[in-house]
Amino acid sequence: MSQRIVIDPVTRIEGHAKITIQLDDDGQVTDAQFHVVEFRGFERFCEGRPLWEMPGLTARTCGICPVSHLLASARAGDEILAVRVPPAADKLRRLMNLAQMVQSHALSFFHLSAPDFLMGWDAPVETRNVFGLLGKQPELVRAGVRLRQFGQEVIEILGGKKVHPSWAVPGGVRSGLTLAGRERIRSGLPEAFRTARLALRLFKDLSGSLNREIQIFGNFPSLFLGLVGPDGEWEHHGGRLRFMDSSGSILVDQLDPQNYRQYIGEAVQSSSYLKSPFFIPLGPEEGMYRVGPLARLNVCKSMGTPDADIELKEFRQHGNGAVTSSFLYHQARLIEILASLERMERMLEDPELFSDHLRADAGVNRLHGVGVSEAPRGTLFHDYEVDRDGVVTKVNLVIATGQNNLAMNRTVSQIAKHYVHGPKVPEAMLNRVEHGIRNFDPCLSCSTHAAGQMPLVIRLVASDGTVLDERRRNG
Amino acid sequence: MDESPAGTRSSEVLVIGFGNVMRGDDGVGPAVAEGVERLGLPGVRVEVCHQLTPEWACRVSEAAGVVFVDAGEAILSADGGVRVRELDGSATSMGWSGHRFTPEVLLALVAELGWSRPRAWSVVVPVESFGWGLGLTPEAKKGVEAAVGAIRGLWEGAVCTRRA
Repeated sequence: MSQRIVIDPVTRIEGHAKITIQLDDDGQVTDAQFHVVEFRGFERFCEGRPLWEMPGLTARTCGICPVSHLLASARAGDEILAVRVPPAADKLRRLMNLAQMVQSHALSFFHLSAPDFLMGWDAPVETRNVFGLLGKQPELVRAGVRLRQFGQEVIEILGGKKVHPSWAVPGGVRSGLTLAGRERIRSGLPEAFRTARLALRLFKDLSGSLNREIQIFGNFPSLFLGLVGPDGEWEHHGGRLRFMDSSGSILVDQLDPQNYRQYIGEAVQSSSYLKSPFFIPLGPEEGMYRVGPLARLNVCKSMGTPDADIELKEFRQHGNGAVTSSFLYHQARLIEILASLERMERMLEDPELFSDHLRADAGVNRLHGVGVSEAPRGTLFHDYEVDRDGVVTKVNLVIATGQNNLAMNRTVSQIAKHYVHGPKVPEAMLNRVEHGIRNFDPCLSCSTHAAGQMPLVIRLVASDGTVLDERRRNG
Repeated sequence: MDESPAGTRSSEVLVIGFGNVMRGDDGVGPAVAEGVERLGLPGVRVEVCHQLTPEWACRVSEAAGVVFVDAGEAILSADGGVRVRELDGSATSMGWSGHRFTPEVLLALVAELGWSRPRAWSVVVPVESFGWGLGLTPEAKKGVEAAVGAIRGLWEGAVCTRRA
């Protein structure tokens, strides 16, 4: 008789999910699935709204990554207006997206993930959190809190507020950067650089003792997707799409985001509200791809900044072709923080940031537009159809977490195969499976879009549906 | 160590209204914050957020006082009125499960970071509806008025204390 284990809910991620692990007659793991069990239906209730409301409306999808939705939505609006955004507006949007990378990655690394590998995988759950870490590495926690605050402050300086700024609009942005704002950002950069370098050194020093995690926490071949610049350099806003396989071969390059549907299909599962995008030429089974920091560092030719490029070269020693371990999302995140800070520092010298030409005005010139931006968690697509008055008639949001769905399933399965041998959920496996999901820093609020906190359930179920074991942890 | 992350403490009182404005009356915290903003009270800085997150520890520790404004289930209110209480600092991080920051947990974080913990108050507006959608129920709107008045009272008390 085959059996299943369900983990419900999963903790320290954004949203609400559960994990089911299927066992065969001998008690060995055969498959695993990450289910998202809440539904919000943002796409549907955007219908009927004016295009110009969409950035502000879709930014409400999430309290953690509103900036990503704001920027992708504004880009979709640019396409529908068929305008070229003024250079200053484009640069300011990019500056905000870099700040978003910094604050979101800081939350993921310092607050959500580091407690696991710094406190120990088998440490009591009560201590595997930011408070537990305070007792062990207080300076690191202080630095992490301050780094996230820095990213949030940059967003606030640009957008007027740090959560849900209705700042980017179709055609540009509402306001520019002041000289005082630039000085505030500048003054925070040295400490932010110190923190990024401290965390990178810490992670690399630890990585020797994390070999097992690197090997089994989601280490498998897959495709990777991300934006790249004209020369294949790391890109986060604008740019074109590149698919690469795990050998490092480029499958699709410089794909105009308007044509993403040629390559990205969206499968659905009856057990989850999370969609499962896949690479169409290889089909739903073979076409699994990953997005986010790991993917972006795989697909790019270079980071485009000196220190981050040194880190990229070192990072690539983990792979032969692409780096395939999902555990190394953490290191990739830290390298992206460093690259973002370097780019921000460089951008602050640009006098064009202070231009007052910030918005291109136009009416509806196209009835369809796709906006793509790299969210911290991965490539984010906003695909809108409108009528001639600019009223939205159809919306499709392809979210990073959804694009990583198949890879998260594979990760859970891989970890479970190492730790589950029979009809009970061992505590050691519970912690590690959760972390396997946490590698991807999933935002279920965006991808379904779920609301509220994030509890965890694991259930072990036989092939006839009998629940053999269940572990539950409140969020 | 007893300092703010910036090494300084302002004389400002920080009012943080938090909640999800797309979940009906859960948006009452931001609505109260906006009401306090309109009062233009000297020395009061108003902030709105979706939820409390760890980096709020920085700003909280830099303030002279903090007022957290949130929605609470009406059933938990003995008289149906706005609940105002000073957070006495007895709360710790023990029992924190890893996802949601309450004012007490945030203040515990400030203290455990070694930063100075300001005087802090919780203002909870009793509400009935956390359903989907924008806008407050009439009952919640009444609560907003009462909460704004209560915060004004706290501010007056703080000013008097400072003058004394």
